[in-house]
Amino acid sequence: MKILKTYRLEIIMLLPLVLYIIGFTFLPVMNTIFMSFQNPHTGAFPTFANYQYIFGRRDFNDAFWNTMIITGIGLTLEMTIGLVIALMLTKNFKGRGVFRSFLLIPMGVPTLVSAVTMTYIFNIHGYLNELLYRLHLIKIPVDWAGGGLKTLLMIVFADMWKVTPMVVLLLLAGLESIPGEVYEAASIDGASTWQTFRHVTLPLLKPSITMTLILRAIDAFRIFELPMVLAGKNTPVLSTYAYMEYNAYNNPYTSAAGSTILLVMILIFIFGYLFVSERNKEVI
Amino acid sequence: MSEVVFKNVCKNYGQVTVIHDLNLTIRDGEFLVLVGPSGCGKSTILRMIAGLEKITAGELYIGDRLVNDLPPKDRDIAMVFQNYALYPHMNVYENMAFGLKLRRFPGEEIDRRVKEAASILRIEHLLKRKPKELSGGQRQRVAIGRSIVRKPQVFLMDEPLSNLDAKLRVEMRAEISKLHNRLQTTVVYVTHDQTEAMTMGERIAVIKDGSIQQVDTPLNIYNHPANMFVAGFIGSPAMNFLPCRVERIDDEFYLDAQAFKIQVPKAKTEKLEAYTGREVVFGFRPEDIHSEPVLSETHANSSFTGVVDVVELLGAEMIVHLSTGTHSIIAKLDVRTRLKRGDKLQLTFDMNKIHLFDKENEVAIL
Repeated sequence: MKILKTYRLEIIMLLPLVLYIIGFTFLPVMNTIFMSFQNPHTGAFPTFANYQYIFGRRDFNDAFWNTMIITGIGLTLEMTIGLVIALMLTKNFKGRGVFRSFLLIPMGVPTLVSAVTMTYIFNIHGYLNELLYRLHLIKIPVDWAGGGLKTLLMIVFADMWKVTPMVVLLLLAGLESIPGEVYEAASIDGASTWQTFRHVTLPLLKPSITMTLILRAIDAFRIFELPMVLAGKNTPVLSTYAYMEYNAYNNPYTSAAGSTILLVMILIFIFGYLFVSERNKEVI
Repeated sequence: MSEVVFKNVCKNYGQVTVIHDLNLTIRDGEFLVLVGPSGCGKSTILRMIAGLEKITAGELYIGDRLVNDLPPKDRDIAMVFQNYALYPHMNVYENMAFGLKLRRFPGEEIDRRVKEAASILRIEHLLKRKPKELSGGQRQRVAIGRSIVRKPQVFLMDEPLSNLDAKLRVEMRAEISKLHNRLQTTVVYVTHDQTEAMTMGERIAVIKDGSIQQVDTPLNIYNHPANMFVAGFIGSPAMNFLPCRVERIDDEFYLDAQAFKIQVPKAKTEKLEAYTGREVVFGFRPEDIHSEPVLSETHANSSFTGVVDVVELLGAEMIVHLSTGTHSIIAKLDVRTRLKRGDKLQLTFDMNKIHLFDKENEVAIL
């Protein structure tokens, strides 16, 4: 009671947010987890029936592996390209400021808008097919959204366009925190550009790389708008699978099971992030 | 031969010239200290030797090689940085071995050299530790170790002791001097601390605004400063400066500072002829004023009366701030003199140690 009295104002000001989070995040999540363990017909709890059902479904397996492939390829490319751009941006060159500003534009575009923009490129009558045709690389247009690896690569490309700037920013912050004197010491010690990168930059950037990887992995698992708009239900990922189960097939229980699996995957990475960020604090 | 020679070296940053026409020879095996206030260009000179700064004009030789366009790794130099610049992800051993590994030294040779350097610097027990697990003094030893394992022609040290506490600084000062005696390698040492310069340097180069003011042994710089800047910069507390007029009465020269008038000894009057009747700057070090009453009685011509403003007791000696007329003077006196604020005190100059400077160009007259 004393606490209520001492912190009355703080409690009043926090209350709306707490209620919002409880009402719109905590309870729905708890309800979803509960439903995923509930028998859709009898309402019995707990049961693994929903999980057994979706594990047996081909589209769920596709969704799972598609998510993994998109995350794997996407992260590899984003990190590589992001690191190259970040390294470029640490150098002084004319127009660096302008380049940095341009680089940030994709971050400001809503994902849904970027997805629609990408359809201009990857549509069967889109710019990419036109370009390839004019270069005489194809005779008939490629159906990029038709499924298989090419569709996943299309989604990876669209995702990369959107999120590489964030990777660049995170890595750039890491690069700029490496003291210049260490590079000077390396140059006096006789390190070439490659050796400096290999033995100085990369190890010192490891904490930033790990953090960026985990943050991006959390995001990549949740990918929804891009596969939804670009590929539809032909190429499901975990989030679109859960959405389709609920929306198109009216299966809230299996949708809940799919969502819970996605939640667990994301939680693993969130705990990884917390662990790594705590460890980095100790290093510094 | 590991001489370092600057011939008419200039350094510009855009329109700003930070080093003007530098001519300096650092002798083989010498411990030369570059000293000057912040921003005087001393670190730039060091970084030009290292190859971390490009030379705008002129020539720089290390040994007999022109090194203007040589990258740092080919100059056969090693540098100790102010903030140590150790590789944070490598342990002490790896930090020291890194340069040798890159130069493809055989493993046993690397091991031998690292252990030898570690034993000289007494850091053998730290070889497995990371830099973050070391104290400031230990890190500095590792940084020095990293530079000595390479056995370079020239050591460059950029304010290596400025991040250490006072006690450790005194210890490391002696250690670096000992190390130089042992290795007999050329050392160029940058500092803004005149005590470091005086105690460590075989020669000191005093720098101001990108120009060398004087290069000489510490004692010569202390006793015969070339100009007012050097006189004021070297020595603690700093030299006192008073404006005064040179007067000639018969064959004797006097300095008239309004509050007092003192006679210049015969041996020092040679160059004063030209300044007769002109304003000059009278300089004297705080320790060259004495308070013994017997002196003021026997040397009435070099005595004056001052009023005590502040007394700072340092134990073995005391620093006394005095005023005489409109001037303020700092004197270093024997602690046996009992003084308090407002006391009147008869003081005598040691006239053999006085300095006079031209008022216009601040160059030493005597």
